[in-house]
Amino acid sequence: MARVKLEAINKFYGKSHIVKDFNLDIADGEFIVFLGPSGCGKSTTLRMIAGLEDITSGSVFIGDRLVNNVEAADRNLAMVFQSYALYPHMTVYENISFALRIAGLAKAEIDEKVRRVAAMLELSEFLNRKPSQLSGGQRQRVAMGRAMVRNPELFLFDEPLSNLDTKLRAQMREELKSIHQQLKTTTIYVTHDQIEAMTLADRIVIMRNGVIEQVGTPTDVFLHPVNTFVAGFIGSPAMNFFEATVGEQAGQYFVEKGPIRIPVPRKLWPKVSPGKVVTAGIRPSDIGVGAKGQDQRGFLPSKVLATEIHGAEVLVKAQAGESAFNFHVPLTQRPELGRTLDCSFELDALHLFDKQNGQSLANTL
Amino acid sequence: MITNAARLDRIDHAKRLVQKIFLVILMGLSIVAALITVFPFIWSAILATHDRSTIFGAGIPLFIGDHLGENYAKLMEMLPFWQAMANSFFIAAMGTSVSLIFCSLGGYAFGVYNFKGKNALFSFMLATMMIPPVVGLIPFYLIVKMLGLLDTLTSVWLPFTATPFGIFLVRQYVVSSIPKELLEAAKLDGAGELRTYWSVVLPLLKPSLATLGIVQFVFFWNNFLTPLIALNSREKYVVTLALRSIQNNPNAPWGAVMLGTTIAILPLLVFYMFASKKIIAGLTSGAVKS
Repeated sequence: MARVKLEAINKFYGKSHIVKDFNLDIADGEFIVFLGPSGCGKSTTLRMIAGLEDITSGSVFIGDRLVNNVEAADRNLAMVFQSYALYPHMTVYENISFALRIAGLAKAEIDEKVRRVAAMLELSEFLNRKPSQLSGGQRQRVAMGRAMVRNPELFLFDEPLSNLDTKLRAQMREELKSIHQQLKTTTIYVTHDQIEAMTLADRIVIMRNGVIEQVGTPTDVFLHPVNTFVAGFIGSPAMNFFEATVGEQAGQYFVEKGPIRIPVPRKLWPKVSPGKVVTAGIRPSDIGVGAKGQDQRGFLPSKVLATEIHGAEVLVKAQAGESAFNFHVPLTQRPELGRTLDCSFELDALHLFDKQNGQSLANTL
Repeated sequence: MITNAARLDRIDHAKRLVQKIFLVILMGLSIVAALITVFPFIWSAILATHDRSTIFGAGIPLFIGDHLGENYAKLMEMLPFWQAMANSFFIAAMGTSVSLIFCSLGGYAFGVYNFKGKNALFSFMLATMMIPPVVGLIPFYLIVKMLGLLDTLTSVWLPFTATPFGIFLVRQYVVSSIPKELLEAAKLDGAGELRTYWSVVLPLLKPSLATLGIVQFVFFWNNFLTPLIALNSREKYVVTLALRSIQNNPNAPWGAVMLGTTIAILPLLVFYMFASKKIIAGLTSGAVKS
């Protein structure tokens, strides 16, 4: 296990600036997830930590050791690739034991380690099979076994579950979580799947265009997004946004747009002034139907445009004035198209962002 | 009155008939082409059973004669035939084995590593494939002489072991079939460059090496020009050179020559029978996504 420290990491490919001034301190035994859309630089950062990619500038520390000029093989880390990268001509046993054989360990020791890891990953009965004779989930486990058997200081995962179907992915997520809880090895995991990030991470690093947008626990990034990008990226369906103008009446602030008029939570009053244009955001999960007349709630009189059944819940696509909103209702309460619903939400669930730079007003308090 | 369905049926039937006729014509043409290709081999095998007088007599003998034993005795008398066969086998085996090592290393380097001048070097190497081999004969002779390899078997296999075609074939296979992640995984597992090549890359190159092996074996076995220039002693002769040497006699025993030719073809024929599928697989690998 090891602490990992990334200081002012930059990566250029020719003139393209791929990773920009990346700073991060990862605690010993922590499970960190790099999350972001394709091309945001998360895999490049991971590969720089692995030693598979040169660092243009900055420093990578694993433990107390500066590893910028240390060969990948000598960094004492293991990586699981998206395509698993299993050696197709070797059996499961040979795949798992490859690194140990290179390290020159005694046969008996190799055998003991391979069988222990195989038992842990329920691969014991497949040790003599070639990767082509295994299912996707089994191959994934072999790739993990190959990483685990070396007992590295650091695990790196590069979108390891993206080739699996939804059901298997959920199962492998659980297995990964339980393995991490057993081994407590520092882990850096790259994904573009927010469910993977939310379920696995101790902390999530959300990236865009090579820049860290926010670092925080899953709860943190969901409840307190620092800007519109994070707010829109985390959560499914995405947060509802609309532009609104701040108004004042009888010493109380509110944001309004057309028929929408929502009181601004008191904690945000220092950050608003009458006439200021802001981006307001409400998560679909925070919107409910009814509760009209109650205090401390925002109201969205919404006309139902479309509905989508998502199992036990129905996604309602509605419109309030000129603004479109999505929210969920139970399947049994699927509304008719064209009907107007009295939607409301807790005022604390209202997010306000600066329209110019997209930063959360709550964050700049 | 003909219904629409019946009309469609008739059109369908006519279409199938045209298709069938086309197939029969195609098959007929293929059979004729195959016969034209195979005929010289069969004919040389038939001629191996005839003596000079029947061969040059009236008409083409297309039946099996009764001079096989006589021709064999003459072949043995005029030539160290089996010695030549052994020499051919030696140079083909050595040349092929060393080719596989050199070409796989070269192809792997061009496929995986980035170095200055890589593209220029690769293009230059490919350009050498356009030069007719005959043009290189004199430089070949001078180099072999300078190295003191004249009249040695080494001179007819060593200079042809790093071939542009072989390097190109392996390079294409490496690019299309060996994922970069596999090499990175080996690197992270602690494998050095040579270990990665030996334990990870080489086993995966098998299909392309099988193809290259067959192509090279056939090349070395059939090679005539370079042995003609480099080899002088009769005991160093390869089979192509040995058979050519007795054709210069005014009364060349064509039956014996044909017998020698037929025997010389047999190893290749056996090789082909077992490996033809591999050749096709190797040449087309990477062309389609598996």
